Amino acid sequence: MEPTAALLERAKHGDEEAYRALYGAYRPAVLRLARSFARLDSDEVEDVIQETFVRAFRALKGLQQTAAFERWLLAIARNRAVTLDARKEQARRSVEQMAGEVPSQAPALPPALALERESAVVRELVEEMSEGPEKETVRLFYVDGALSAREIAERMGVGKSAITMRLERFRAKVKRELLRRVLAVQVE
Amino acid sequence: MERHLDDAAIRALEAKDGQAVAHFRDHLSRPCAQCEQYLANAPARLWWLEAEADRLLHIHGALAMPAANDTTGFRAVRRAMRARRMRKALVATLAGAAAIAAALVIAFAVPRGGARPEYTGVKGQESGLLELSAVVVSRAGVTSPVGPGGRARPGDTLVLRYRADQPGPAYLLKAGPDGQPQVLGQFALSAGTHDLSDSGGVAGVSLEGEQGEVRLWLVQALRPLTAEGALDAVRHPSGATGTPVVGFSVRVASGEN
Repeated sequence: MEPTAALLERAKHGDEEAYRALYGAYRPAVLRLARSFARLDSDEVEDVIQETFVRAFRALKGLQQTAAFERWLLAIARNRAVTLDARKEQARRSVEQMAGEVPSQAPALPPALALERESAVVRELVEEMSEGPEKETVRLFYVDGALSAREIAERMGVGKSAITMRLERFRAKVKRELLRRVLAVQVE
Repeated sequence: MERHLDDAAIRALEAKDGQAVAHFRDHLSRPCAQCEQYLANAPARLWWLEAEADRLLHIHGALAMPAANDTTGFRAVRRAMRARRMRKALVATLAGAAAIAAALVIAFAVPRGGARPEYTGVKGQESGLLELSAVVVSRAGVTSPVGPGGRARPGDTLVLRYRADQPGPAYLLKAGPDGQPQVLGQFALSAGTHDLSDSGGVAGVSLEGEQGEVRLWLVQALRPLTAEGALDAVRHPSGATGTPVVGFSVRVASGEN
């Protein structure tokens, strides 16, 4: 497959095939992200996908760091998903800072994260967890990856919110580990 | 008391405070419910951390999935992009023009000499106050203010707004390649501040294919005025015709210039 950077350059000039290739390459990731929000139904998941790509493609010319495209795209997707999720939950959590906004630029990433390319980090963090429903939820969603959060909720017989919270708690662990790695590089 | 992540700690880490960095490098190497709770609701400024976590969690996971061959979904994206581009261009043209009064420099705020005939004591005397300002609308639908002599790009559209104290017909003229004015069209002005428009809506002057200075004039007919009379009014800036004339110019240059 053509490198993402080359596709982005072509897409910035309106190349239809480049748009199509980027959509094909990154739709699964956006889909996965949207499916981690258990309260979103399949229509809303599709809304997240469509809105994410529409916003990203329209703002593509302003993206200076093409290397940051993945993070930028996923930030747009998360904003959209959080917005829909919060609307559904009567603004359970404030989305004022994020709602509907497309980050204007992806900031330069600390070197430690720029080098972070191993999915082993995720597996290690999963393995560190105590056995139980939380670990099982995380394993089903982030390791096996076949089920949506909504489907996991149905299979485990728990509420959708509970599954979303378990996944969010695991994401917080990932964020902790990523932040630690950034700090480790700063001290060295 | 052990220090945990909070807004102050994040600010210290962003400032590369040595003590904070050393503390949290060690502290975050172990699970901490309090810090993870903070990170679970991380402030918007840490969106890069959110995005990196998502990249790690979802991009890698998605690699195991086949590339999407979702033609229907892709078509929906493209349809939505096209629809929004058209809507944005329309809204930008209309709303942008409507917003300029408060934001823009008024070009040639004082009519040219002779545009205000001397007061004769006759009630209802024409005063001929006429002002002109503009915004440029890019191909992408982005609206930005432009002052007299300001810069625009080829392909932009110039949207004009006028202020007049008398209603009446007016001619819009543009300098041709030879520098001589040419009539672009006729418009009905209303008293007050308005976008220059005709029955088709807000009028825009396309700068497609233009290069260098583009000069425009608005000539108001306070008494019967032919197109030739409007041309005369522009050709004789001394105001000998006594007809209100305002001009506006922009310099068109591509980004590289």
